[in-house]
Amino acid sequence: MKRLSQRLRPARAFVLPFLILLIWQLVQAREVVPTNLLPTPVSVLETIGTLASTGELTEHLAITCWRVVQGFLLGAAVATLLGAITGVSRSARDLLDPLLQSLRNIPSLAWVPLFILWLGIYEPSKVALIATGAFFPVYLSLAQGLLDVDRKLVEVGRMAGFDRFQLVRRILIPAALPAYVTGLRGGLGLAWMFVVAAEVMGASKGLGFLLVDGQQTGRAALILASILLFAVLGKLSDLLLCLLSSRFLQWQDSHSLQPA
Amino acid sequence: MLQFESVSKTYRNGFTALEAISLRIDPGERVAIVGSSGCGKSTLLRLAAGLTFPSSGRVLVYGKPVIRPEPRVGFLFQEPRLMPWLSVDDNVAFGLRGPARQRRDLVRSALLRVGLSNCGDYYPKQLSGGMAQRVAIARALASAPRLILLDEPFSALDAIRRAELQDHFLQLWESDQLSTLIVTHDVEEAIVLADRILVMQPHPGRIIEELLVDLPLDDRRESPAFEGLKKRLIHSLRQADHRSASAIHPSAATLSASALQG
Ligand SMILES: Nc1ncnc2c1ncn2[C@@H]1O[C@H](COP(=O)(O)OP(=O)(O)OP(=O)(O)O)[C@@H](O)[C@H]1O
Ligand SMILES: [Mg+2]
Repeated sequence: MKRLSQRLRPARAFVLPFLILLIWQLVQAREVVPTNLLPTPVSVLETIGTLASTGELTEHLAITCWRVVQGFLLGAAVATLLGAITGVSRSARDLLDPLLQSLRNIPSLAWVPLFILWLGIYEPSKVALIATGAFFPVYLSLAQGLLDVDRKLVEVGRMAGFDRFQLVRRILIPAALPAYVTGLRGGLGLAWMFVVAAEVMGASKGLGFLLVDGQQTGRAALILASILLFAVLGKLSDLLLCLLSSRFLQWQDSHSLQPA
Repeated sequence: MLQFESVSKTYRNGFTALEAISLRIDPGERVAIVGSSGCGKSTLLRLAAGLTFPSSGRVLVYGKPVIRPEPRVGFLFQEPRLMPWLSVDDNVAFGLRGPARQRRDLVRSALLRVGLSNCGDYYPKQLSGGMAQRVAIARALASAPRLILLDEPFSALDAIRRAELQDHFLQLWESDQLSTLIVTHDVEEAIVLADRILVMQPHPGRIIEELLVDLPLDDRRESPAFEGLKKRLIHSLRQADHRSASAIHPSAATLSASALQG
């Protein structure tokens, strides 16, 4: 009995979305709000279906995902490098951290004109914008995670005669890993937000383009379809990241892992 | 082996944890420091280990001032301090050098000594507090130090395990001539494990008394002199607390201090 409920646990995630869609469908079937403003879930799904059947959908999805992947990897890579340096070395921190912290407060959209001016209106400027978005959560979490490593554990390494490099590799990095993963998840989430910004600013393909297209042609179903796809993709990518990282975090003695 | 030359330690917040500590441990000697909680015992060990440095005075290991942790000095911390991401085996092997095969043998024999040879694959989160501390003991032993610093190492263990590990440490000393500085608030433990006992007084931490334990090494608990020594130690600890309590009134402190010395 308990087994079954354990196995059905992931299904719980779908209960609420399904209920909302159901109520929405039932209500909108009577056209409480004009359907050209708020289409029914079924017509949103139909829109996705039509896009899929022409092969257009794959193209839009692919280009958006590719931009997110490139931007995220670039941003996360630079953030990992800089976060590791500032987290480990005090002088690097004094030098770099104030600058990066003040850059962080610049609203994301403020970068757009500059990136377009520098990198043109095509892919590089979009990837740069997404990378900027993904950078900060990763940088912050990694640097802070390294700073927060328990002195007590570091002392064990010092007693073992570790040099600085060994301390970093054998204690600081593993101990900061949970914080780093949290940062990566945050960075990935922001990559998805920034891809929308990048594509709304100007693109001829991608889910963000579908948003603009839907607005310009007055098709609410298309907008909602695009939003729905963003939600699904964002969730899936986060899930993937969690799965990839869980192998390295099994040692954590987390309260949430306890079956009470 | 280890020498403190009127060492004082004042923390950055202005708190003086230790004042004018002088002591000397010769090779193969076993010394215990007893004192109530917060009197600066851990601070003293950290100074000996080179994890922190004196505000004045000198700490010498092998006649040289300590400027960084010495490879021949082992530290058994007050807490297990296991790396949560490593298995028990890897925790015991942590910091060991040499070929993999040799390290494996060292790990195996260290775990055997603490009675955990079946738990090599466990992770720290799967261990009880006492098991975790035994793994920490195995880790400290595996690196075969010449001087070992023990910070209340057995306080997390049940009475039987504690006695067992204490006996085990005694055997080790007999075979390895391991020099030892052990810090504890358990007077029985001090008598069982040490040849010489220093009594500390808190606020600020000082050594106020030295006691020789001239009993044969095995089965001291059963020795007729044991209870007498224990009473004496408890008495000095009480007095130390009393003196530090009266230190709030400086005149009273001088009075009782001179009374004690006289
Ligand atoms: N980093 C620090 N900064 C300021 N004060 C400290 C610091 N570490 C310890 N102290 C103070 O120094 C005193 C001695 O601390 P210490 O840890 O050496 O005590 P202890 O004798 O080991 O106590 P216990 O038996 O409870 O472990 C305490 O009063 C503590 O508040
Ligand atoms: Mg202590």
